[in-house]
Amino acid sequence: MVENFNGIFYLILYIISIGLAGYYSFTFLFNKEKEFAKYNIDTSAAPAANFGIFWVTAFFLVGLYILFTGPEGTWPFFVINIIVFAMATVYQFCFHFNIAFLYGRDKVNSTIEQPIVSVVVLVINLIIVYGLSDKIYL
Amino acid sequence: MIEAWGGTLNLILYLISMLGLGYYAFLTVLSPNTLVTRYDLGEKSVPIIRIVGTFVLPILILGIYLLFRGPEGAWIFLVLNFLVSTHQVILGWATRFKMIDPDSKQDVGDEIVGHVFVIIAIVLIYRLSDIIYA
Repeated sequence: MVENFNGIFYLILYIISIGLAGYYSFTFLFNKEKEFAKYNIDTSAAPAANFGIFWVTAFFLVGLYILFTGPEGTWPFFVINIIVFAMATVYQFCFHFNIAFLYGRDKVNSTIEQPIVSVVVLVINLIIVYGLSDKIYL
Repeated sequence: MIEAWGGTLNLILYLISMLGLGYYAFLTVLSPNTLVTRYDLGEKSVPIIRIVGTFVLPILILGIYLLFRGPEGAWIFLVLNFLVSTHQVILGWATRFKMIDPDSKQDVGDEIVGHVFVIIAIVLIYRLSDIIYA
């Protein structure tokens, strides 16, 4: 497994990235109330959260598979992750700092956690793509 | 383009899949209020819907890229689409049987689309297996 990921450093980064996807997947599937309370969101948003979480869960499952089989030829997975978190970073920063996407902004709480997590995961994925470029583009 | 996709049928199925994805990308990114109205969600759902859009749009962008480049070696993209659609179908049935979110409003059209996407994904993975796993 370590060899597949060009060393322990990239493997740890990859596990962190997948672990975060797993965390959000589990939380929003089984513990929505806690997350909703954090952002002052009521239960009417539950279907929207469900609609979102099956994308995250799919990423988590595919990510787990790659963890055990190796990343050879899996560039679409990593490229999609980078675009997702690049967009999420822009959105989360604009939303948190009241720059754009303000519809409904006054009705919900925003924490700095979301923009930070988006940036961290974006950077992690950029490092992983750089470090594994000899394998993922095979 | 048709050759890269192993025939017209595969290309048409893929285009249908991408059009569906494009529709959801439009709704989640540019028109979240449509979803709020359709599913009787509150205004507080809009930020969550936009976050969903940050997942849908990148997959659409890569899907369009693959449309022109061809699907060689892109098994993970098709498998990812299959898993997303499968989860959508499971969620639809679980909601219908009141196993989760029993008060939420459902849209039969979306459930049908979910089933169609699963079938398209399975057919594409099967028919393109010699190309996508190359």
